[in-house]
Amino acid sequence: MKALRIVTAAVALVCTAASAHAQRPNGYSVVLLLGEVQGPGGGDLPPAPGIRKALSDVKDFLPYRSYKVLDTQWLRSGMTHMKGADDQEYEVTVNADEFMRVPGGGMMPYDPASGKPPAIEVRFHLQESGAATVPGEEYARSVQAAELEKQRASLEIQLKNDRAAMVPEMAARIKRLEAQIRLARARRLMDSKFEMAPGETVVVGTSKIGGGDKGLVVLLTAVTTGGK
Amino acid sequence: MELKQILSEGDPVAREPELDAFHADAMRQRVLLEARAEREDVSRTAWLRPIAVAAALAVCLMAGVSVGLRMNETQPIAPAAVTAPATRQLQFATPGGTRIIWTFHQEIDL
Repeated sequence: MKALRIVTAAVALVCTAASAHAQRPNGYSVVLLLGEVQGPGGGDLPPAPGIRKALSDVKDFLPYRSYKVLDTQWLRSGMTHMKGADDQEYEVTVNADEFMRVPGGGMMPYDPASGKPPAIEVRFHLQESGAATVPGEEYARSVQAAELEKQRASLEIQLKNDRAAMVPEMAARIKRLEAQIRLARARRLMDSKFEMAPGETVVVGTSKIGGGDKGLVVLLTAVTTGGK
Repeated sequence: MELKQILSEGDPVAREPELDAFHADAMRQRVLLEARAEREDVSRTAWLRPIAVAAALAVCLMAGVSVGLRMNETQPIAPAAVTAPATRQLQFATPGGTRIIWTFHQEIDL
């Protein structure tokens, strides 16, 4: 009889641990979308039901008629590179801490033995590749970008006037300058901290103040072991 | 015993013999000689004093003028403070439960 009780308790403990493990996020799915005011409705959305539900939920709150998937990544945590429109690269960082709430409004580090799903505090960051990490760097970068733009403008004028053998070389130089200008003008676009539940999809986005006809949208899902 | 008496009795100088006339005169001559030599030294270097004062004044004047000029120099223009682009963030949840975290940028070109 005693042995039966021990076995029952062990099975219950294993089940609780397995259930807690299944409720914990295994990683983060990051879907980068470009929302456009104009264009055909819908767009080429990934088939994941969570993503479709999230977009269906937000369609009345965002002005975009169509969404184009730019890139999709899965990461456990840390930073990843994602491709945007017009060869623009983005650096996306997801850092998360699991914790659990205690009665009285406090919080403590997550204990899997509790059998409850954790709450996740996510720090999400998205920037154009090469953006300044130190605020004081921005002035030097803007000066550098202005100088590079001047060089590009002068090359473009030369290119218009000169139809000689140097044209391909000049075009290549302009292309290189454009890449340098893009790096010098790189900006930090999103920097947010929020809570998520395992399996939840949060819509994080950015656009110009006062509208703009395009918006960068990220669908961030905390993926649990079960794949949800 | 009075204090004055105790002091004069304990004073060793009071019991010393007086200088004889020869030594006293030699000492006096020496003092007079030193005093005369000192006076001659002073008169030899006296003409340097106004020059030293004038030099000190000139140095002070030059220092004052150079400080004044420095203060009037046009200060180099400090680079305009570049402020981070203005952003606004909004967080809300839709009736369906999906949360939206939206960042508005003043200047963004997508």
